[in-house]
Amino acid sequence: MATKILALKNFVHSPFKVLFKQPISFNNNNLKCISTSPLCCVNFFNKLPAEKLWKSVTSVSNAGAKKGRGKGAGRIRIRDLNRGQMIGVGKVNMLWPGLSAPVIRGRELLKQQRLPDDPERMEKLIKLRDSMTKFRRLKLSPIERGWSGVRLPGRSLGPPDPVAGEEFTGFETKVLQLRSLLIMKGTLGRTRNYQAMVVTGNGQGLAGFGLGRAKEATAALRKAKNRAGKKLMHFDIYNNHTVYHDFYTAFGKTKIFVQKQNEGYGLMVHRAIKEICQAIGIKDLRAKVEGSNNLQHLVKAFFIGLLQQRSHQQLAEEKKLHLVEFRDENEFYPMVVASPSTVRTKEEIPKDETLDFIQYVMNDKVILKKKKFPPFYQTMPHYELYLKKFERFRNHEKIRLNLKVEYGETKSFLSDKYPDEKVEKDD
Amino acid sequence: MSLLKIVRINTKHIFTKHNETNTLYISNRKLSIVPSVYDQENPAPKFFSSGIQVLLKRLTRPEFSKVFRKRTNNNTAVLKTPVYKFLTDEELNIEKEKANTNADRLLQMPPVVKLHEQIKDVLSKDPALVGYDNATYMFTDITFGVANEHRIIVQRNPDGTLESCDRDTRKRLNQIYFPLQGRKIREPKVFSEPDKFNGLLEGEKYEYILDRACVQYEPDERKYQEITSITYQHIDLHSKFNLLRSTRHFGPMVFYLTWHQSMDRLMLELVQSSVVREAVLLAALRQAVHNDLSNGEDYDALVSEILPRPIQLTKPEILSEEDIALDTKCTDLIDKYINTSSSMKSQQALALQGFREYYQQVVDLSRGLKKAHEYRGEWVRGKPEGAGWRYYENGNVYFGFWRRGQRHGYGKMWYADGTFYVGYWNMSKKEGLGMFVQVNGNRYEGNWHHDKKNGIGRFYHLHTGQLQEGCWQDNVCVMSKMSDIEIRQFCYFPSEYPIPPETLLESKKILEDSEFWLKQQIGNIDNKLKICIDKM
Amino acid sequence: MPLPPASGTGKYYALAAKSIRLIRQGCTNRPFFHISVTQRKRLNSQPVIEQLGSYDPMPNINNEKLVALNLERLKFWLGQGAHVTSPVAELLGLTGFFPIHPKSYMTSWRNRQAEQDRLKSEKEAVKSTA
Repeated sequence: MATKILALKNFVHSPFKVLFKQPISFNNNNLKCISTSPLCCVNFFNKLPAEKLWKSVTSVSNAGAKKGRGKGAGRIRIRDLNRGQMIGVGKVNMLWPGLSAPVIRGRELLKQQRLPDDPERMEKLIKLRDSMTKFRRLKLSPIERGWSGVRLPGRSLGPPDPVAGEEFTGFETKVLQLRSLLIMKGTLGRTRNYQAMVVTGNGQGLAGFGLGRAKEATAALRKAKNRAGKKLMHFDIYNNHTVYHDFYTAFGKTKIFVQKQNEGYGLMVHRAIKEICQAIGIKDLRAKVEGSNNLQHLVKAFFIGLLQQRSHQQLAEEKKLHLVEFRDENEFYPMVVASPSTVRTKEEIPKDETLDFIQYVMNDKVILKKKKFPPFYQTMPHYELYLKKFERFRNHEKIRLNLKVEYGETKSFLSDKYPDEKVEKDD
Repeated sequence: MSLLKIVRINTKHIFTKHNETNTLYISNRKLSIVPSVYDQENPAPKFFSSGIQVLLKRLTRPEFSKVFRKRTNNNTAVLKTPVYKFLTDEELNIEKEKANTNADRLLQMPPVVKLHEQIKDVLSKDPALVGYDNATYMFTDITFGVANEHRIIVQRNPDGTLESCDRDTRKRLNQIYFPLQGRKIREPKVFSEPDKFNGLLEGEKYEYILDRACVQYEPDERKYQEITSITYQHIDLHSKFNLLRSTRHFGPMVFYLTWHQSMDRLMLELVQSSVVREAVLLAALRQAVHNDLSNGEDYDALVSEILPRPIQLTKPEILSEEDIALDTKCTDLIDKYINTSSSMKSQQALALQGFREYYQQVVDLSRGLKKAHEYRGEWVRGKPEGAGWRYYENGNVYFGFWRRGQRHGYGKMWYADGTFYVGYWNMSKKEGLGMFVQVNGNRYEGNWHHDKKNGIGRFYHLHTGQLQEGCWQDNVCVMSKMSDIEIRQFCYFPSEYPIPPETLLESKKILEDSEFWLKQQIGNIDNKLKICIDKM
Repeated sequence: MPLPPASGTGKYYALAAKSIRLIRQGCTNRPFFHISVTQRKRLNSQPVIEQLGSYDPMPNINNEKLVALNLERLKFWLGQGAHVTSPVAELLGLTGFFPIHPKSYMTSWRNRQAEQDRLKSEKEAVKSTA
């Protein structure tokens, strides 16, 4: 293919040279060998129309097209070689009244004349011709773009379409997954389908997810979005920022351990769970995924876990014990968040009952905490050397800061005493 | 002669004063605040006496939501995830006890003591050491486990004398070798620069100032006493006592105001916000500090009556007779106090008058409410008849029809335990068609007789999702058919499997054969209902 | 492996001779001393047995030289028969813990002499110019 292009390029750049190769050479060679028979080079370049020529370059075999060749960045595109060319304007800059210029300008009748040549004309033409051919990716702002590059997952789709005149105001849809599926059909053979999973929510507790399949990606996305809009669920958000309690949830081989977090912690979760949390309006959460990270299972597991949350009052009723909250910032003042109608006494509690709150709500599951190893450099001999060397400088930063606070610069009472001494300059 | 002495002392005083304190005086002249310190009599014995401590703690009016509030100065950069625990009643009580001790710790009052005296203690003089060095040598004993105030700190001056260091130097060296968190070796600009200090005062950051002063200074330092004095007076001038309530500084402030006989504005604020009991406590505090009130024994007696009562954090809406009696006593005593020994007689008398009027309203309301507990509605011949509301002593509420003082006809009853009945009554007993809803949402719809389920009815087990249809006799189900409701899956505790469709072959026939079935006829029920609805 | 603490490792031979001495810990142009007890034959760069105090020979902003002493441990080591080097003995003398070291008297006498000489020469210089 490359050779084809090269040949074409050669032809494009010097079309006349190719066509009238012989007469030109006639001019240059010595006059001895003159042939009287007329010469006209005939090859497929001047025999075939442009369309066929282009097709021979750009076409992809049937099998190749099925495999997805001839698409994306490496694709060869058809160029319009006549782009920028106008009738009446050529290499020689001539003024043709009635063709490239008006016949009468003002009161003067224009005459056919030659204007000075534009030496950059050819370059301009080539530039214009090549400008549209290069494959360029769509530029997206960092906020608009999804999880990676220009791929769709992580990107926003806007609210679902209105259902029976009901507008989804304040809703935002995020693509979680978009993939192509291949299925075999009796008549058509292998055909391509697109599957999309999206989540939609208003950030105030209402959210839903949907799965759509279609021949086209856009149709799949639209279907998924509208399905998500029809399957909204409501979730209570604790203090408008997190879940009610830690929980364990699983779907298939996917296991998720979700932990409630303090205000300002943020979302330290899988990117799909993060999108779901943002759709629901959860702001602080930590979740660890164990087992399979199949995205559809992940989403389903998380939604099931959220739905199976119990309110504080329910927990207290189940246990028949007071549920008390202790906060560090409130000096661990025992705040009773829920009380059951009847409270058990200590004697009534069986010995083997789980009373630990976390253990109870996690359903006796424990999060695996991997051992943390020190960074590799700390075990090397140079690190010890570094520690020894920098031991004496350990407080310098702090002292400089204090001096700057006190004097406005790094100086001390001694620099007034000995003004001739040079002061160490930093920054 | 004595005048001359005073002048001499005063001049001496001025000479010994620091420059910084002078600037403080000038800056606050605008506000006409002159700081006064405890430099005459030692206030410590009175401040620490148990009687006064109790009064001060009570006057602090500790509100746990403020005591345990989120603070910005507790060195936690990031909030921590709250901890949850399942507790029994006893454990909860233990935790609450712990919280009480914790609150006591948070509300521990900074001590009020007399100004310290300068140390003058020359240990030795050695003129042969003159010229050894131009600098002073400071020696600090850093032996482990010695308290800061007992540490040996001496200095060798260039003239060869060895002497104990003065207070400021001791504080500085202690801070160098045994730093207290938050205390600075240099005086912070907040306290050294009057503009900044005034800015804080204007911004009403009183608690911040007092907390900061507690960290930076010792309670027997002149600077500490001046700063606190200015702050207290500023609060007093602007009547911003509420900003300091439930904090550890309220006690010392009240003590300061009482000590300097200027607690009348606080008294006025107390009366205005209608807390007469605390006003009595305040007067008793004055009596304990100065012993200058005419009828001191009355205060002590009333204080011993007030202290066992719970603290009133909000204005009470309903008063018991005991409360009314106590408050009346308090009001009378405060009236006497205002007439005899107050310095803001007219304002306080006005406030007290206002309080009396308000209080009378509250008393009327609470007594009237008790009356309203009886019955509201239509009367015939001295007895409720027709439609009416009735509030019972035990908390039950009835709304419906009455006849000769009895519930009769259609009516609704809200029981105090959360259950609810709507339906027909006959002489205060459930009779006829009615619905009874339990606390957990389970309900019985059907016939009643003699206050008991009698006859055909339906019982919805809403928490498991079953419906029981059948006959009851004296609250006991005689015969019934259980079936699933459509919503079984959505219940809190759904049964694991739906009830299989098999039934008795002739269940319907058996049901119809029973005598209760014969008694009740569906048409009858509908007729009755219709009549009732028309009546309503 | 953490660095050995400057305040001492506490390791020593019971029968070896001990000495209480000043050990320079500051950097260039900024002397600072630890008063430490070490084995007498050990170098100052080696880990000490215990630190008993510190001495800052540069006057601070208030023209003071700060000395910290753990008198309790000092007494203990003196009781163990530790040798006290003369700079430490001078400091202890100034504290009032020891009798004043003769060297202190000598230094002060020499300083006074030098001061007198300086004054005298200054006076003469003034006279001669006059």
